[in-house]
Amino acid sequence: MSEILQINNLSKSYRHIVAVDNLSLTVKQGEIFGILGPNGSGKTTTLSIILDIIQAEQGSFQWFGESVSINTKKRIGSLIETPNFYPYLTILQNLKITAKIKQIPKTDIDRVLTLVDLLKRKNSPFQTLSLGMKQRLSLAALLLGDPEVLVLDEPTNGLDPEGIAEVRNIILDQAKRGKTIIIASHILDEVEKICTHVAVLKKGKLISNGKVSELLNPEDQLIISSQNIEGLYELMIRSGMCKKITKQIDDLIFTLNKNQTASEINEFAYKNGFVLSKIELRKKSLEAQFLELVK
Amino acid sequence: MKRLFEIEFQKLITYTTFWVLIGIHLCLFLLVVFIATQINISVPGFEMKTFFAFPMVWNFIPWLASWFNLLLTILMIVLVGNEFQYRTFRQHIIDGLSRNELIIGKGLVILSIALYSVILVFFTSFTVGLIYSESFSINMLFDKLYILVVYFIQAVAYMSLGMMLVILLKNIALAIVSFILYFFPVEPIIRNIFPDSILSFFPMKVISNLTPMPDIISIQSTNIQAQANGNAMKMLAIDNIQEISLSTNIGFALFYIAIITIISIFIINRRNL
Repeated sequence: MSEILQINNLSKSYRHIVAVDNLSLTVKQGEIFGILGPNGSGKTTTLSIILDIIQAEQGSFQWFGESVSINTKKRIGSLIETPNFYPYLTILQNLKITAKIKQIPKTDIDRVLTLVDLLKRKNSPFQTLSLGMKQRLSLAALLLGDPEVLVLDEPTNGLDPEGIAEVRNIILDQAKRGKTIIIASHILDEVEKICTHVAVLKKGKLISNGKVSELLNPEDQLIISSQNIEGLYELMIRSGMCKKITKQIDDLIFTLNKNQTASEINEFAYKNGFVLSKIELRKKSLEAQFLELVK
Repeated sequence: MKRLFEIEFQKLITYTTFWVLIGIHLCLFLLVVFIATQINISVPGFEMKTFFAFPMVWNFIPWLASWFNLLLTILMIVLVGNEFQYRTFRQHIIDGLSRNELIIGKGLVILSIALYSVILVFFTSFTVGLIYSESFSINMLFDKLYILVVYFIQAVAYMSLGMMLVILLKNIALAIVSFILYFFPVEPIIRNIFPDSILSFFPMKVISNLTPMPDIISIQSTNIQAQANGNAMKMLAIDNIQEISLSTNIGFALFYIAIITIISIFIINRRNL
């Protein structure tokens, strides 16, 4: 897969606050790449730098193997934070301006408005739209010209559950069409549901980077229970088969080692005279993983 | 260039504030011209209505119009300030405009508004001249037409300064207040500190001197002198009573426009949007 975005040692400070600290990342074609981090971790600054609206102090980045230019921008559709449109213009008039800037025929406007279900409202002024509609309009604007890459910053921010589902469906639909999507969010559920890859930022630094599935798998947790919980607890500690074991009333909770399965634990307990009354595999959530990372 | 013009046109065509301010400019200007034509001052050596006859009308009406450049500058500040307020400059960069194109686009708006103002001044001056001139030749009709070009430069200079201020301050109200403060008390106070030989070269002085106030006293004394010598009344040309020559003034005004534009481009290229 070819590289879509290459970030090398990017740094940016605001006076004494380090927003992005020596960040390096690579996004490959077809990936849905999540940039995850708490508020103030440098997600928006990173996206703003790679979209040329903020200038980095150090480092470089390349889109499609070249420096950012008018031509590379045509291949990227972006939504940074809030929808930015002229409030007194209608949906159609706003999109005409975007189409002119992107040098795309106006005929594409109806196509994108259909995609985001705003065609019937195309003559409504922007200021009369609900937040969900404004966000959908932003998606329509970024889809103009059918760009190869979508860059989204907190796309579901401030939306109600219905709005979140609508925006998420549009993004997933684009992902199915093979688009590369870079999405910054502090909503773990969003990243978990949408992304294939994730980079976790903390105070501008990259602290973890990889496939979402890889980030979750090694941390599977097992919950087991038996009539003799004390004996089982001692056995499991002595065995060294598990890590981070904790006893919670009638349950033992521990993290499985790599390549270890629940049935192996069940078999081991049985052979040592313990019949398990409960055995439950729980995937450690990205939230738990995330909190551990940014602690 | 055509694309940038079309983008700016699309923004303005349905923008109520733009049309309201243009409407106010048009009505106020015509009202002031009408009121001025109704004033009948007549003293030895000077009659008010001579200001409305050819060729003097080409000096007087642009001078009146120059006061309304303040309104056009406020309009320009609002138009550029909106781009920061709505964060649309930022969106335009994301969508594919270059930072220089943002300035070129607004430069086209400045030129368009200045052109509208020149057309308004031309038709007003021409109509007033036709009404108030007792006799005139074709030569007299178009003798001082170049003053419209000078007025155009002046309008562009004021609006460019307004644009630079709002790009610098990113706030409409602050930019308007700064412009008015600089125009009225700040530069005149600064000028007082400097020797007379250079005070005519300060930006506001240079720009406002492009269409100077008719010097009634000079006109009056010249005419009295002419009458005493038995000559017909002569109107003193405005460019003869300027502190520095008109061509020097135009040169400096163009220089300031260039400097203001360069500063605007510099700020927009250096700033995080």
